[in-house]
Amino acid sequence: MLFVYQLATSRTDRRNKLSSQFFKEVEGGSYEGVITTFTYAEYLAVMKETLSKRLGAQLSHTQIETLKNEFESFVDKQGIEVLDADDLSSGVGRCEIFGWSSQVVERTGTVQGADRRWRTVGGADAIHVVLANRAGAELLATFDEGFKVVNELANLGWSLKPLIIPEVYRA
Amino acid sequence: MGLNEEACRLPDELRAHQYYPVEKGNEDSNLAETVLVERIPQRRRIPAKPFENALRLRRTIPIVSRDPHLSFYLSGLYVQRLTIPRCPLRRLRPSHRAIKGTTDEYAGRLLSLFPELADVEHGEIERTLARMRCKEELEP
Repeated sequence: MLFVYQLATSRTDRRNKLSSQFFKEVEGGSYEGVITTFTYAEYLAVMKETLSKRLGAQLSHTQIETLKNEFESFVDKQGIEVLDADDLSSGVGRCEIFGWSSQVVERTGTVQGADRRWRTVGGADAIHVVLANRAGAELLATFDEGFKVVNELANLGWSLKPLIIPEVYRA
Repeated sequence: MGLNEEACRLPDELRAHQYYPVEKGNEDSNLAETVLVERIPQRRRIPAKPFENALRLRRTIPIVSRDPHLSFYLSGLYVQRLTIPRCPLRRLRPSHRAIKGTTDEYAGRLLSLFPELADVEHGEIERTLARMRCKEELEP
């Protein structure tokens, strides 16, 4: 979740540094950024829980609006395209997202991360993968090494590849 | 007999309501209603009788539905190939050139708005996200 690390961690945090490197490349035009409304929903969910834990209270409407506005403002200034996840998940009169997500899960294996743990893409990850592919994205930027299995989707004819941030950038 | 006089003799239920928007003393609009009511012929009441199909619809041979093989529907004789053009994706925000300095401006920006986030580490965020994505193996 690059947006959370970028907006909500200290500049001295390693992940903040790495995400900043990536976003600077987006800013410079090396990458054309595309996100969906599902990305936004995930950002908001993580931020709500994290902030609520810190405050020890439920967030107010104003606080939630602040989180939303900061995200939207950043995305807008960064020139990132926002697509409607509903549009991407529907065929002609039929929702196709879950069928393809199942295909993603079935057709991919597992990978061992730098921490020696075995990972793969889960249900929500698979939805991100399908949406990214449908959006025409070539790379899926993430910190999660589990997304390496996306390389295996070439046998479906997909050109989507993972961009594992800690492997591409160094803090 | 003037129209107004005739209107004055209307039964009460046909007279304009006191709040009906007509000029005071002018109830001509009610006359039209009266004439209309009078000219509608009263229909003769038809006694109800049980419904019966027309003779040609009464068949002794039972109607059997034809259930063709699936290939029949897919055959060119039955259906024409219909191509629905792919709609362009709705862009809630279009891609455009970034404003220089945005990355630096927004790095850790929420910390200034919510000082409580000051000591949040990426590990905590990672665990929250992992839990939300149902990757329970990452739970401490």
